[in-house]
Amino acid sequence: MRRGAQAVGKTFDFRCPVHGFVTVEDEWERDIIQHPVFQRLRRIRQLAWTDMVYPGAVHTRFEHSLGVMHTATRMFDEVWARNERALEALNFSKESRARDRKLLRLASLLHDVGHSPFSHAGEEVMPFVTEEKRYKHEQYSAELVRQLMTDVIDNHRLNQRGWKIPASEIADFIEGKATIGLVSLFWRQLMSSQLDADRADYLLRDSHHTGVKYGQFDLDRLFITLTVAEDPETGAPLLAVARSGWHNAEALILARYMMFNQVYFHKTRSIYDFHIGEVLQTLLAEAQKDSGRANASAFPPPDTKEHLQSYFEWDDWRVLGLLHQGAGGEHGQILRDRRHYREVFSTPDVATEADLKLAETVAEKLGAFAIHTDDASTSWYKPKGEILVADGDVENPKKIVRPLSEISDIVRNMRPINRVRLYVPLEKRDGALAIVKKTLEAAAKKKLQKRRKGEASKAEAVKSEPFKAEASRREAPEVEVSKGEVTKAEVIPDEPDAAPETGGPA
Amino acid sequence: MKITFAIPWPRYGLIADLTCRNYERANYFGKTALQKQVYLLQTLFGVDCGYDFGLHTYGPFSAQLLADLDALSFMGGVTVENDPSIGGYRILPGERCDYVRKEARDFLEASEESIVNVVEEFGPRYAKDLELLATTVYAEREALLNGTPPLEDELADVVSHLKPHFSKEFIREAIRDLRDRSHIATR
Repeated sequence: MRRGAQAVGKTFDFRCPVHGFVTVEDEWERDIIQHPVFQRLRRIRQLAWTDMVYPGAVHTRFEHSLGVMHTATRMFDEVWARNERALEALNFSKESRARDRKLLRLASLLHDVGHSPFSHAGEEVMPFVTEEKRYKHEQYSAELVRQLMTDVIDNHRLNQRGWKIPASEIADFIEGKATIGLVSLFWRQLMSSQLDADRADYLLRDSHHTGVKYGQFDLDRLFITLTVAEDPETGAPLLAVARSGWHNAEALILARYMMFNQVYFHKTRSIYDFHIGEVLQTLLAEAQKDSGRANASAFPPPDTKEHLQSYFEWDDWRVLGLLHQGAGGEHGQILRDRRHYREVFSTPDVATEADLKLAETVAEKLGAFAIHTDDASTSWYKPKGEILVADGDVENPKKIVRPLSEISDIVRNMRPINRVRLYVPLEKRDGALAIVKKTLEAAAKKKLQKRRKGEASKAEAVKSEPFKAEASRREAPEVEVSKGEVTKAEVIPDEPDAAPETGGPA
Repeated sequence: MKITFAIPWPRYGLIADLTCRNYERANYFGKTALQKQVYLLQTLFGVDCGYDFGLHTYGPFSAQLLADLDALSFMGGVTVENDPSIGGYRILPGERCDYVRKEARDFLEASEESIVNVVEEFGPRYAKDLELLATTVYAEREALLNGTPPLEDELADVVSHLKPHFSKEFIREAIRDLRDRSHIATR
């Protein structure tokens, strides 16, 4: 029997390209996996249309969810095995350990069941909760579990006989509700934090399927260096990395950074998300025209069983089928013809204020070209907090805790990515590039004139009062000068897209 | 078509402004205080700061707010210093603090009264107390989603499960204190 597990009857194993085998520990878990709500994940691609750039990226949320359950469980078991006394010092009960573990396994397994077709690409089509805030897939996950899975959770004989974990508790765990209590909130960090199983799995899995090796880091090392600490300011229990594992934590951050730039925010991958969003709106408007809802071009909200049933019917297969039949409007045609919008301008990864202003100017000049913009700072792929490094006796939760950014020079100097891109329809690319070139040249000229003017006045000042001028140069505040001047802002050359996406006939 | 990719000055300006105001009053202003003061400003005073808060073992927390603090620190709006005496981080005004506040002038002027109130009321509190108060507010707001305010006992139970290192009586006092100031409602 596995450590901490209450195996009941048979176990089952899935082969996994990342973890080897993922074990399903009893018939209850198997029946949850067999449930239509979970099986739908076989029909939701993890990375939407990323295969247009990386042909291997056709994996689904189904295998990722199994991977997260596996990884979260390994983390849970290792944390308990190596930090037993520290956990007991925090009043974590050995008696409830098996149940805590089961709850974590099921929440990890089900955390993504609320994804829309093509995963994050569909998030722009979620309805609004408030004027400015849309529902998130986590809320759909929680409600699908709470309202459509009680048959296989609350009513399952193995649950009724032993675990007594209601669907609502799993849903609350997924959402991080206050009612789940400290112990569950602590373990929830394994599902959602900088050190979580979700991220650990998707980096390795996406790296494997795309063939981009930058997403690799040492997962086994991470398992054995996870530790328990206390927040130095408030005493709250935290999950941290032992000091011996900080280089590996650094590798995890670098993996995330590289995968973001190379895969998740790839210029072509990003624009396909936009086209899919437009297609979904068209398809939803058509399918829901008699629904009576104010916003029929958005998914139904996760507020009633009926709406959830309707949402559940949407998956990649349905969308692809409709696309195949010629539906989806203008953007459906673009997808069928593989004539996606093309990038004509981009700021550097870390854009300064001046870079963003330049992007605004270019966007204004391109106005007539029906541009689409892509802004990394609003991307779904954001850090979830800090990785904390703990120094001290493993048995004692009172360790010296410091953020990784204080120990690692690399992490300390990593700046948030806020790159902005401008796209235009393919047939307008040449005209748009000419406008971009002209705008950048004008900006460069203006800047040069400004610089010359500044140098001339400085020279004049040095001539009259050399010491004062030198002092004022030293004390001058940092001037808002663009780092992204013409030489840095990238003008995309007038040539076909990079090789990976031109692998097939247009 | 006017498209803007502006730096989020209102958010950066808010962090800079809170840093300056706490600094002027000699309040200890670290990462916990920043998170909790912004949460309370948004939740109790209805100032839309644009942050999504989730509940963590250390109370309400927004990853976006932390990312903004990093970005603002790189920009020179604030300085984040390690303070070994408490094992945490002190946030101090940076050399470009005033510049950032100026850029966010419209937002800061519109929210000034609420910001002043938050700093006056919660600025002098210890991080540990702020964590308890913010967690209590979070639990109460969550309970309100069910339609009616929670019973005091119910709320005390929920908070006690989240913060077992505080005595039940201390938690009840915190609840009453918040209720007396009309920040939360209980039955």
